[in-house]
Amino acid sequence: MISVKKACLGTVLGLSLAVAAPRQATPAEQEPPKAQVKAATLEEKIAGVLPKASEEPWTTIPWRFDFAAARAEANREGKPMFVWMMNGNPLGCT
Amino acid sequence: VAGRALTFSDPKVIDYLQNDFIPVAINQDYFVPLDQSARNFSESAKFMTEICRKNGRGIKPGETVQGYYPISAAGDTYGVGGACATPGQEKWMIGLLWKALESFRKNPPAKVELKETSSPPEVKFPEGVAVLRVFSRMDPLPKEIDGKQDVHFLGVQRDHLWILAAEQAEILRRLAAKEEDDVPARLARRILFYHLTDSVRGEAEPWQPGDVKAMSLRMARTRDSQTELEVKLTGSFTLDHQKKCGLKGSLEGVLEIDKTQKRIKSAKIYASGDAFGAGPYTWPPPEGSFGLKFAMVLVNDELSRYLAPHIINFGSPVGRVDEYVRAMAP
Repeated sequence: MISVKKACLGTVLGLSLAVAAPRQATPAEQEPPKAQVKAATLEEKIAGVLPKASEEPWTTIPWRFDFAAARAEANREGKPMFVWMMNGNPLGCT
Repeated sequence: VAGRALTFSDPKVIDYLQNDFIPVAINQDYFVPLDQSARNFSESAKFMTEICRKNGRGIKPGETVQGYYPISAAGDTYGVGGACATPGQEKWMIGLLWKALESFRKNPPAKVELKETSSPPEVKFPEGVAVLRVFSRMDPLPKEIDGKQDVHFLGVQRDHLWILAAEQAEILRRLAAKEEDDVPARLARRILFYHLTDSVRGEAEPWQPGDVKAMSLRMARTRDSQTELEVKLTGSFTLDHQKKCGLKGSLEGVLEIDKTQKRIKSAKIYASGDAFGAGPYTWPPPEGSFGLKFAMVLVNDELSRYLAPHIINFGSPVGRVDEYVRAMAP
């Protein structure tokens, strides 16, 4: 949010200056100062870590995690079960 | 981690599991733990232990039973496979599922009387606990990693972090008295020891107190109203386990706490660092140092109310909630 506010403020100031001082900018002025390079926000950094749907097709499988309920469902619906058993629940860790 | 990224990405495998099977994911440490003396405490655990036995697995003490099991609710078993992430395993998986379905349809099992129709969560959740889902990934990928071959390095790791009701109240209390302070010690240690671990390639062991070479985790009041407090988190850490593996990085985040309920209503935490080496179950590491990134966000879905933080049942069917909460504090 702070970055967005700064960016908006910078835009407003930039426009004001353009109206008040209609002269040619020097080459040094044309380059954006380093301080103006927008740092990633917290939200952007987090988004970069979160898995995208395209890289995790396995999440489209309707995994159950209550074993007894899944067994009862398979029994009731006449379907086989597929058990994925890992050292730690695979939906929560490895 | 890599197994789910690779084996369950094939469209045919997904189709089978979406339509023809009831897919269920469970924890070996709870249902068929390596400690054989701790087995058989529920109908479901007995059932899965017997399934493993029928497949010749989990018979020797300490033998892992991790893997894939197509079965019937009556206890018929249609093959088994170890969970690994060898390229080409998805083709093998299609064969396993096809054969299982054929056998099931050819000889449908009779329906059975089940005493258990629901399995409770593996541990009792503390009242008022906030659950953050933790994601981590290797980023940037080391230059030598070939994305197509080294699937172990590409996965996204998951876990759950607990912030207790008392800790949420403590943050409010401390930041009512001053503008900034240390994050409550047990919470800081819990984040560091159990959740800033390199688990992308497998199961990381927690950091130990002696591994902490430097650690700072601070919280500051950034917005305050009658009903809500916004807290900014900042931190840095240097961890080194006997020069075998380590992580040096920083953390930032924002918590929003409902002052009336004394409960976190939003949480976003990000951490990143340079890691090196590997633990016993995360071998092999990339060469040199590599980047790790972590994201932790508040969740309140069914899974978050069912799966406890991984370390609580790590290697044991007995949930060590107190140990996790204490986070190796003296």
